[in-house]
Amino acid sequence: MLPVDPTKKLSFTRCISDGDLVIVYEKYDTMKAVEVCAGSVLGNRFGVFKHSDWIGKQFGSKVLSSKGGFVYLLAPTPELWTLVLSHRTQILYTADISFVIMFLELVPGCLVLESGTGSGSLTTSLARAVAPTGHVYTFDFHEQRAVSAREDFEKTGLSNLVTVGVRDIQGEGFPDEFSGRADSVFLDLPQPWLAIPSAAKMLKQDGVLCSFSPCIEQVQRASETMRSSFTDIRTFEILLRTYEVREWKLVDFQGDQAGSVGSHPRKRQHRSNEGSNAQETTGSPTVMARPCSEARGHTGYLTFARLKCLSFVFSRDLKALKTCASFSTCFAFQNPNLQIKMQSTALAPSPSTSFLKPPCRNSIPKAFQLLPSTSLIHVDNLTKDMIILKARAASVPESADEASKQGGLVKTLQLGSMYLLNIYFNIYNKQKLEFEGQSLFIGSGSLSISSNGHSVSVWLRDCDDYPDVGS
Amino acid sequence: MEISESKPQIDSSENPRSTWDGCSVLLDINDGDRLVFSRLSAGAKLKIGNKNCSLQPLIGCPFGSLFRVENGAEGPYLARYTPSTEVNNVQEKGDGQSIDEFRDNRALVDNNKAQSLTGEDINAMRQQGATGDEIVEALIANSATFEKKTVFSQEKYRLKKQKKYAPIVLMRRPFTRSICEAYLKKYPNKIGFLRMDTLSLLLSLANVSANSDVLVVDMVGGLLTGAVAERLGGTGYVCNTYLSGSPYSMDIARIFNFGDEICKRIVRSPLADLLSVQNGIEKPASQEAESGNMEIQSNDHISSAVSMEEASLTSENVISDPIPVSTSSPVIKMSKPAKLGEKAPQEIISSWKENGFSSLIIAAPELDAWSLLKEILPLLSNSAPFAIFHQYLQPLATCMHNLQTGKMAIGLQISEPWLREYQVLPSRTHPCMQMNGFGGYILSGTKISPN
Repeated sequence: MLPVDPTKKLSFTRCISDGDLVIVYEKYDTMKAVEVCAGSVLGNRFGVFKHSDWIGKQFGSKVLSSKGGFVYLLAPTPELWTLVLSHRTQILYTADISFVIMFLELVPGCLVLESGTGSGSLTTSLARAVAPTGHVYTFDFHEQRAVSAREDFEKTGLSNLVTVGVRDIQGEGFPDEFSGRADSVFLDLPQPWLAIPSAAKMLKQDGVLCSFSPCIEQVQRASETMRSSFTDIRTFEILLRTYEVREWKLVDFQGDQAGSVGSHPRKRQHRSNEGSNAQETTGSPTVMARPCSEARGHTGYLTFARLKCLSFVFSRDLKALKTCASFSTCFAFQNPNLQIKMQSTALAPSPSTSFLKPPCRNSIPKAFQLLPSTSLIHVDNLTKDMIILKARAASVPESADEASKQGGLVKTLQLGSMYLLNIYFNIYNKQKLEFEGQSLFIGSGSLSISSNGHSVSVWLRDCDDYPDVGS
Repeated sequence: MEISESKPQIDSSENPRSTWDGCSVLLDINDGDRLVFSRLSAGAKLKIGNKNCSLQPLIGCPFGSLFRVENGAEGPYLARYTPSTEVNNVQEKGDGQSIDEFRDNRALVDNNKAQSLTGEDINAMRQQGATGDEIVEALIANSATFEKKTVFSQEKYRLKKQKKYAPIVLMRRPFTRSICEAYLKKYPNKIGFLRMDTLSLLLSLANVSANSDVLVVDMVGGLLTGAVAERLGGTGYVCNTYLSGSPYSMDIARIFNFGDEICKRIVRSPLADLLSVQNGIEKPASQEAESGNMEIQSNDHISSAVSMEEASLTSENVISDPIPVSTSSPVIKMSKPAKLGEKAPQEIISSWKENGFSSLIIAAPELDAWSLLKEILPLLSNSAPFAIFHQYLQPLATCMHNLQTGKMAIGLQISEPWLREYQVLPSRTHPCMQMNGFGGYILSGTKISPN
């Protein structure tokens, strides 16, 4: 099927030989794949065709049957194969297939994983895209289906590009040997979310995953699962609208009435009815096109996602640590899992740090005044417990004028809530660390150290009271 | 970073995952708000907002990396960044939804009083060295209405402010798909309004595969030629043919990071040469045109450099950009893109005569499909598939009808791809509000033996 072997490449000199796979074309929607065998015959409504007549003819030739009927013999392509293969499952069609190939960024040399194999419609195109040096590893949990698929790939000459495995990818994931080696992964599974973590493991950095699902609920769930390790998650639906073309003379209102007789809307002229415009005698017929009324309404949703590109952001974390430390609210670094989350929460109790670095003492009260409502926590990833604290903090007056009037009260409240939060965070954090029973101890220990540090710094700066705004 | 400098031009079949000096990249600023093609070099600069940033830090980084503008001692620079918190936000929204239910927008009044931070406040913060993130946090903290918004609109608000004050640059591999999508967004007319799904169909329907000899009529800026060459991966040939006079531009093909092996496989030839050889005349009719041809080619090289710049220059004018923008500095140095699109050597043209092309793709909005195909179809092997793109239906319908009546091809079909993108979010899944409604028409079929 593919010109991997240069001697089999399509050309004016390449002739059909014994053992070749040919597509027998009757009309645009009637085709059949046949393996040429010298002694064999093909019988259809056009008569009986001897294979031996075909040998030595070029691909694309018209061949005659015993009773004068004819068919065309075409070289197989993945598109034609999709139209003739035996359906063991629902298959993907050309529109979806071509979009998948392009979105998966497949080029010669890529390694692709696919599950399930199904009838191998997509697999054939995947193989074409990665040939001659790449490889497709495709898995199906259905033993017999896998065997049939292997036979098909043997027939189409793709067996050195495709390996069919029997494996339940939803249950077991892809084999570990492909870990971090796949350029792209394609999933066509009833519960794709079960296989997505394994797909992520198989992909190279920045590799692309595609999941094909007919139902939007599957898409919904798969997309949610993808969010943890993928980015650029996009869902598409692609359909193909086909057109029928015919030549037809429309009645000219001003023109002769005689012409209209011959131009009655003829019965739909089939495409295969090639060139029978003999009866168009009068006037000038027009070629017109309209969409075919029969169309595929839905195939499936295609969800693509790209494996996140992880970078190390130590410099940023260090900066965050510095900011936190200088405010004696150092809880960001205690649990690596919480690290990034806490980086933002750490800023919450001290709004000034959210835009000042390093926080200098003069700016602290200014910051508070810029933020009179002191909605201390607006970070989204807080737990419900923290929202209680927020409610407490929100009881602070709303407007700036009020705030300056009641400056003292505000200050007290701010400081109070700051310390409350501080204590809370420390304990919460230690609990996260699973120091069962000791979290209170470590929490208060760290608090005492940090608040001592704060006192010392306040003392060093020779002020235990906050100076005035803007001074 | 300097290590990457020694890295040679890499064959695309090796599929490099990191950038190198001289590598072409697609920079996506603020999630598609602005798209810029750049060639990375120590001197290359990109203007983001009012800041001019060197692209040097991008060299050697994996594709897919995110960058943000940070303020350093020597001015703003691009630093890598991981958006882990954002993801947490989205996920933990799930828990927040129960709280969300009793929040709505009945109390929101659009009186411009919600934000208490003034422009001067923000400028002052900037002068004090505040990062974009910090400004966004401050804006949120100072918004009187933020707390009253639904979680969803809070996220929208945050995103809007982030785009303005902390722009993110995403570095993408220039691949057929991303190039096509970017061009369709920026200059659809340059690529003849060829949508990515239509392009993918052209490649499939024409059976573009390794080792094949693909004849293209590419009047879509080189996008088609590049897409075919990418699929060939340094095997076979893509022959870009043109009617007469000057060859069509192949600028877009230079945006791909093609290695030498692939570039060698992209050739051009005037149609007259292909046809004259077809008729058995050995010497091409356009011999004297050859020198002129070379001239055009060298001009073309210059113009490619211009267009690369222009691509980033004009982007600002075309795409409504929330950031006060920006021109990509004309200092962008084209570290000589690989030479592609050489004139097809005579011996290869002869071999095409002998064997015929294995595929044909036409994307020529300005040419009449039938009169072109009539000439060109005999160059194809029998049983070779072809695909013709056009924005209008009628020329293709006429062409299809004539092919049918002339018994030149079978399996003829005119198709129009229909593509719809979806927003998929918990309880908020629906088709995207904005879509491209028309992807053009494709006439496809298979050539048959004329006798």
